[in-house]
Order: sequence, then structure tokens, then C-alpha cells
Amino acid sequence: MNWEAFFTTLKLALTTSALLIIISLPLSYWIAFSKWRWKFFIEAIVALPLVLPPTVLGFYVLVGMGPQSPIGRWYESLAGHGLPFTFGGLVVASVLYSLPFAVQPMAAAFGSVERKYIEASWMLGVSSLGTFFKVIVPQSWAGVITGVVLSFAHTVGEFGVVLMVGGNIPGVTRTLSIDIYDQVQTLNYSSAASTSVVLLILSFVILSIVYGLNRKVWLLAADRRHRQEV
Amino acid sequence: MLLIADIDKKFERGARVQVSLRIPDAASVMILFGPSGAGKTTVLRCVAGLEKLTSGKILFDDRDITDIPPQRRPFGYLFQDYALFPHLRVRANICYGLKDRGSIQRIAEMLKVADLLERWPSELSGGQQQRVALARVLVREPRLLLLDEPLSALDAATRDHVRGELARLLRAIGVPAIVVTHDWVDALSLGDQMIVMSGGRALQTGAPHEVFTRPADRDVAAVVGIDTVVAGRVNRREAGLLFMQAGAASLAAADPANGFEDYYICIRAEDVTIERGQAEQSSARNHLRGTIVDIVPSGVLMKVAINVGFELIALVTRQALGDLHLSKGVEVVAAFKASAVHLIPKPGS
Repeated sequence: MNWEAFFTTLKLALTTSALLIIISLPLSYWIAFSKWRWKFFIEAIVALPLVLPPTVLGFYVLVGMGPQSPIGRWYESLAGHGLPFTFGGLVVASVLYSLPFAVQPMAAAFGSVERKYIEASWMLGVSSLGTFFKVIVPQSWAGVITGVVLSFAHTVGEFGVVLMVGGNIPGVTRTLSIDIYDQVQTLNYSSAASTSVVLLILSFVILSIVYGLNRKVWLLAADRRHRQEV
Repeated sequence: MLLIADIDKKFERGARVQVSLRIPDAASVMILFGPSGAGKTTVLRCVAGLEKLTSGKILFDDRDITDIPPQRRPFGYLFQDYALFPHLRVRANICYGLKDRGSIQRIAEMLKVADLLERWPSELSGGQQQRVALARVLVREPRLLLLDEPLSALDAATRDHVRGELARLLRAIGVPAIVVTHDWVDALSLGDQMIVMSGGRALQTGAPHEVFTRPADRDVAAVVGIDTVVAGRVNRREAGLLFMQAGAASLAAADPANGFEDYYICIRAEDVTIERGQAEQSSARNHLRGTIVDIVPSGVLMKVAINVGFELIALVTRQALGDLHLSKGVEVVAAFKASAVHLIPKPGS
């Protein structure tokens, strides 16, 4: 078990999830409630990382962050160094790569909040922003937590994008999945096996939390409905 | 006028609602009456600001509020199934959006929800939910109440009781209200004025009992569906029967046992039979002598209006019309059972 890679992975996943909460809440709200006719383009763009080969995404992020692009030059003039092959660059790539895993459960949960609760809140004098935090989010907890946990898990497991954008710098951009790849390359199977088992268990636990969470919420709702009928 | 609303709303799929609404300053209840799909709720939502007008204007207190968001309109909106927030307890529901949270006790006691404050909405009965929703609306001291089918979410047994409570409450708080309903009992027990709507348009405006008794045309008659509505006062009570004075006539009705003195007496035309000859005497069956004032076709049947001291409508077949030699000016006896008389407590009594 490579602990350095473990902590790099953990730091990357936590940073990515935290940033994704900030980005996904407003973006999911917009996707759930906007009536803009070209909205589906934005939805398609958000979903792209689900189907795109990670190397393609990684390639574009690499080029987009590089010294040839305006964004890359702007960042370099600001930070004094480029984004590619740094932890910051890895975070940018991870946020893009895991975006659909955060946005889709959140947008689905927001969209399933009944319209009457939102309108009732408006009629009680509360602004759209206030309504979002007091009515929509509290009724969408399962979706929000699912989005955060899934994006965390997805970041832990990413490989192609990390390799393309981060390279393989120990202590900076070498994550667990890349470490496993390196171990196998050097025929160090026992180390690869122990790291793999950690990732397997971690993923299983995370997914169990997600499914268990949604099930519990579902049961609570059914229980309330039942009591209402009695 | 407190509210002047000229509403024109076109929907993408072609439906259109065009209604003008005037609500006076004095506390009064305006009923929007009509079948589902008539556009009643759309009118209410436009007034509330939940729907944008295609064209038209809404003035409140002489101020143009057409483009003011719902949050800044001083209205209280009661949703059809009350829309209590399921993730908040009753107390938090009532306090929702309030800056001063100390002021709910008086409202909670007035609406008899003070004992329910720590419950979840899912633990309340339909009637309790309605009272909590009303408390949540009234605690904000709205200038105008908008009630969307306030009784339709309740089962029949609860509805009669809650309707009486709502009628008393609306009188007690003295806030003007617009009430959407498709139930003529609601309209008669709650309303001072009524707009009959169908197909997105207002067909007739007037006091509910007058509109029900004298529909302006066949369309209104088809929408309102009841036939005789007349104000009556209880003379005496006896053995489950009320003996009542209605206009120049007296009649017996089954006692609804709710202790009022003034009622609207409602009789369906198909419950009234017409006889020639002497009026019999029987306490459980009314026999009222009168003169036929009008005969109009109503589908395959004929609607006969008889002046028995008030205008009573009967429904007969064309066959019976010929057999009994019925025509305008003929004196007849109209008969109906005491149990066929539906009594609705008169608002304000």
C-alpha cells in the first residue's frame, strides 16, 4: 500500500467533491427549472464525461490548460506556473470529469420537488434563493448526498484523465489507480493486489451508502403516506 | 375597489382565460364557480402572480401590481391540498418566512392548532391540515385571501363540518377572499358574490342564490345544475323536521341538526312532481299550491316554473305535460318530500 498515493487520492477526491457542491447546486437548480429552449445542449455538455473516453477529455483539458491557450496563459501569468502536471490542474480535470455524477442526481432530486411547495414558499414571501435553501434542498437531501458521494467515489477511481493531465509525479499527482498501474508494470503483483482490494472495498462501501440512503428516504416517505391513510 | 383585475391569459396549447374581476374594499367573499377546466384556478393564480398575464392589468389598492412578483403581493394563498411543507413541523410551517416568530400564538389558538405545533404535517387529519395551512396564511396578515378549492381535499364527512368553520372564520377575520369551487354547497355557504365560469369566460355575476335560481341563460343553467334556491327561516322544529317560511309559502324539510335559523332552501327539479286537484296534507311530504309561470324545454324534459309563494322549478316529461294539460297560468299542486329539501346555512346567520 502506497500511503503517499493514498493521501494524494484522498486530497484530490475531497477537494473535487467540495468544489462540485459549490458548482453543482446552482447548475442543477438551473437544469431542473430553466425553461430555456436550448437547455438540452447544456445538459448534453454536462453529461459528456459519461461517454467520452477519459483520454479524450484529458487531452482537451491538457491542451486547454497549456501555454497555447488563453486560459492557460492567463493562469500562468497569475500563478507563475502552468496548470498541467500540477495538483491544481488535476483538480480542474477531476471536477469536469465528475461533474455529471454530482449534477444528475441533484437535478433529478430538485426537479421532483413538487411545484406547489415552491409556489407556497413564494406566496409566503420567501425569495427564489430562500426557497431553494429552505424548501428545495431540504426535500432533496438524498439526491444532494448521492451526488457528492458519487463524485467522490468517481474521483477516487479515475485513471485516464489523471494520467493525461497530472502525469505521474509522486506526492503530487500520483493517485492510487496510477500506483496500481505502475506496480503491475513492474510485475509487483502483491502490492497491486493489496491496493486494489482497498479500492474495491472503498467503492463497495460508498455505493452501499448511496443505495441505502435512497432506500431509507423512500421508506420514510412510504411510512408517512401510510400514516396519513390510517 | 380593493382589486381590479382584467385578466387575459393564453396558454401554449390554445386554452384562453379572459375574466374581469372586481373585489370591493369591504370584507366579502367572491366565489369563482364552474366545472373543472373552466379556468377558475388560472384566474386565482394570475391574481397571485403565479401566472404571468398575456395581456391585461391587475390593480390592487389603485397600485399596478401586474409585474410585481408573488412574494411582494400582500395576498394569502391556500393551495388545494394545502401544500404544508412535509420536512417542517407544524410550528415551523406556520412561522415559515416570518421575521417575528413570537406572534403565532394568537393565530394558533384562533384556528385551534395550538396543540398541534410539534406535530409533522403527515400526522394531521385533512381538517387539521387545512387549519394549519390557514394559520400559516393568516399569520402574515394578508389583505386578500385566495382559496383554491379549500374543501375538495376533504372526505365528505369532514367537509360539511369544516365548511361551517371556514364560513365562520371568513366572517370573523374580515379579510376579503376569492374562493374557487365547483361545489354549489360551498358557493352558497361561503359566498357573497359569485362569478360563474365556463370555457375560460365569466358567464354571469351575482349573489350565489340569485345566480342559482335565475341563471342568465342555458349555459349558466347547465353549469350551476341546481334548480330552486330560496332563502328561508325556521318557524318551528318538530320530530326531525323543520317547518320553514320561504317567501309566501311554508314547507317542511329534514332537519340537518346544525341549529341555524336562516337557510338557503335547495330543491332539485327532478324531485318535484306536479299534480292537479286538491292539496293533500302530510307532514313528510310538501304539497304547495301555485300557478305555472313558465315552461321551457330542458333536454328531453320540460322545466316548469311554478309560483308557490316563491319560484319552484319542476322537471316533467313532455307526456306528462300533455296528460296534465299544463300551460302558463294553470293552477297546480307541486309535491316533494321533506327529505328532498337540501338546507344550506345562510352566510352571516
